[in-house]
Amino acid sequence: MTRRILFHGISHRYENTPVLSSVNLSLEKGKAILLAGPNGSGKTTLMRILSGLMAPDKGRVAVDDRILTWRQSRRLLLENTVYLHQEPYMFDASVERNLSFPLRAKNDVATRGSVDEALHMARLTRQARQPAKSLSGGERRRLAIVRAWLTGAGFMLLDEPTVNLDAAARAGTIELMRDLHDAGVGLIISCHTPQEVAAFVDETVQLSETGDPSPQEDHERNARPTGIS
Amino acid sequence: MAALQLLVSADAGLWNIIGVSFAVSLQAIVFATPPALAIALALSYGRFPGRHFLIATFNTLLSVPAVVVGLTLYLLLSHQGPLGELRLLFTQPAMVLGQIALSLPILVAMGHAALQGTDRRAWETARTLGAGPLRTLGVVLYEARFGLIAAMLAAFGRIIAEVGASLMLGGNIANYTRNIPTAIALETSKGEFAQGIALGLVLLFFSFAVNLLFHRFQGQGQVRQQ
Amino acid sequence: MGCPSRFTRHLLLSALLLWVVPVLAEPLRLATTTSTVASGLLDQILPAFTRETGIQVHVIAVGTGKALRMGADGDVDVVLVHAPVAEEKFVADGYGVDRRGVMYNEFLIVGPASDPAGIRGETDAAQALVHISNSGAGFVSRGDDSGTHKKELGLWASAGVKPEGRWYMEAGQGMGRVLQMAGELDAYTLVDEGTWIKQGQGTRLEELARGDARLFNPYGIIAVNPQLHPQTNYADARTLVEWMTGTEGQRLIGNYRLAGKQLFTPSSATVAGTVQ
Repeated sequence: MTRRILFHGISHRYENTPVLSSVNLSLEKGKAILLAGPNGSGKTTLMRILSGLMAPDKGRVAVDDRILTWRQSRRLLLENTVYLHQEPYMFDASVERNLSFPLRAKNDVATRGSVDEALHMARLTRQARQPAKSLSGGERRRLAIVRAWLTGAGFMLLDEPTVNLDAAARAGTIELMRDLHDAGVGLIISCHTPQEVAAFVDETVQLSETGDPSPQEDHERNARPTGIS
Repeated sequence: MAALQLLVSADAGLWNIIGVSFAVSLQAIVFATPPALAIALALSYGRFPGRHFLIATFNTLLSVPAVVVGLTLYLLLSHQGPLGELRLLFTQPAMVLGQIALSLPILVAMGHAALQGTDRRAWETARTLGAGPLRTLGVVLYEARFGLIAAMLAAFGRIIAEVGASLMLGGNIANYTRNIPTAIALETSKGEFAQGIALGLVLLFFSFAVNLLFHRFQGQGQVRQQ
Repeated sequence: MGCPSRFTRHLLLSALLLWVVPVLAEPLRLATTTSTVASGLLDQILPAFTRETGIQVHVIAVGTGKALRMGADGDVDVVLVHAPVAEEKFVADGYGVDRRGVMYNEFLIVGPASDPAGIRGETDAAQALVHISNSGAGFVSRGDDSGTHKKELGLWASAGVKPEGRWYMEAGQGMGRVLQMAGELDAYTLVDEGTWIKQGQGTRLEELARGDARLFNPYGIIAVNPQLHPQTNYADARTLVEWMTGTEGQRLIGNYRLAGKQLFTPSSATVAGTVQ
């Protein structure tokens, strides 16, 4: 079980404009990191890189103190992290099948018990057989989070998890994230309303040009990378 | 009127013609789809030089007349051509080859469009949730299934009705390489217009049946939520 | 007012003339078989007819059955085919009037140089077919109710053989294509002299049997019945029929050569020893 993933010198350009410049980040089990910064500051790009979905132009990874090139680490990143889109994607299938996807993907037996438990956790028991695409924004978010949790991965990257939700749904999502944090999952959350999650965040990484120092509870501060404002 | 008579009379010759039509066209679709899908995937997700040129080429090939495809393959398969040794001319396999060539551009062009239209998040979600490359491919194809099935139906529609390639490569030999369109051409040349129309209606009837069958896989054809 | 408007008027007038004049000077529509057209005879002699009479002839090349059907429907004014039985029926049914013999040539049996059926030099056409059916070598048939096809079926009947099996391929296509197919498949076939001379070279096939009186191939021209189809151009059709069977037409037919060979013998008994 991977406990710690260190990212060093992550840089990326998009069509000749620098998006990320030498970002250093340390992911640890049980630690919640907040990625703060205005729109366009490269938060999504960084998360894609951290989850193994995208290759950075430059960067090194150390998994449990073993230094690897990004190519070598790609598989490990995909296995040990889950990236949740800002608008989570629902497969063209029922709520149940969406939830059980990670189990089937690993050829684990998706027992009735584990699926029921997941449905309960996501508070979607009633909608189990409905097409997942018919769920509301908040319901999709819950499904996505529980689905991600079912992969058993140690780290979850949530891209703007509270955006476009009504107050009740936002509160529900924050509570789920808190539960995950308490359960020891490493969280990386990007949010441009940081006060909502400030309560359980252990560390903040600021991505912007102006780079205001952000409140930190822990650790040495990481380098301030430039980004597009 | 004459069409119904034809079918009802259960004329053995007619059923043979229908059988040849479907055997040839179904084989062609089955053999053409995997490579077409591979090309469509490469065009959608690959980044290689000449990609745009390749896309343009396939789109252009959509307009190739069937008889030109037939003629080109004929020259290759004729005893004077490079593949004459295979002695494939005037056989069903030759017809299948011709129809593969005809259906490939449609399958690639429409398959490409279907894949382009799929949400990129589909494969990202599958990958990040731990699915391997093969399973992820399956997910993407499933998400694109409506467009992909439409591509296959369009290609099938083109080849079941074409006469140019079938006639050139098959030779319209009775009980062997005579399919519905070439049979219609023959009846027309004999002045038997009613027979020709009747055969045409038979073709439409069976095509309709095939389409209905696929419609069940497609769902009801309504616009769906994203 | 000024140049653009005058130009437009001229343009419209020319377009009108181009469209109207052909309609006014209605051409004569002739339906004939693909092999007749393929022989090139009509391309050679019809211009002479037009020069002499001022009548434009539009030639439509289709299968025998379709040509007669078009005549029966009144879609053409005159038909020229080589299927005597069908022609007689056409007239008997009242679709055509005054059938005249125009020219004739022969059918031949051609096949692979290796001649597996051993028919080389055979003068009995029916016997040749018997040998072919016994040898299991391939035979490609027109299979399309054309004059050639009917001739072939008649020969099988005389031979007392019912041709069936994988070796007997009914192609349902024109003579040129059937010849090509026979060449590709190393099979035998029955072909008219005209098509053979014109297209035989590229096929790897050889002339193997001819000379049987039953292989006689006469061509007939028939005007469409104006009483049945008053809209047809009967007057010009009559002119063509008279011309084709008249001195000049017959002379031109006899003189037509392809690859140095005479393709058709004019029917008219009055034109003996045609060479000019």
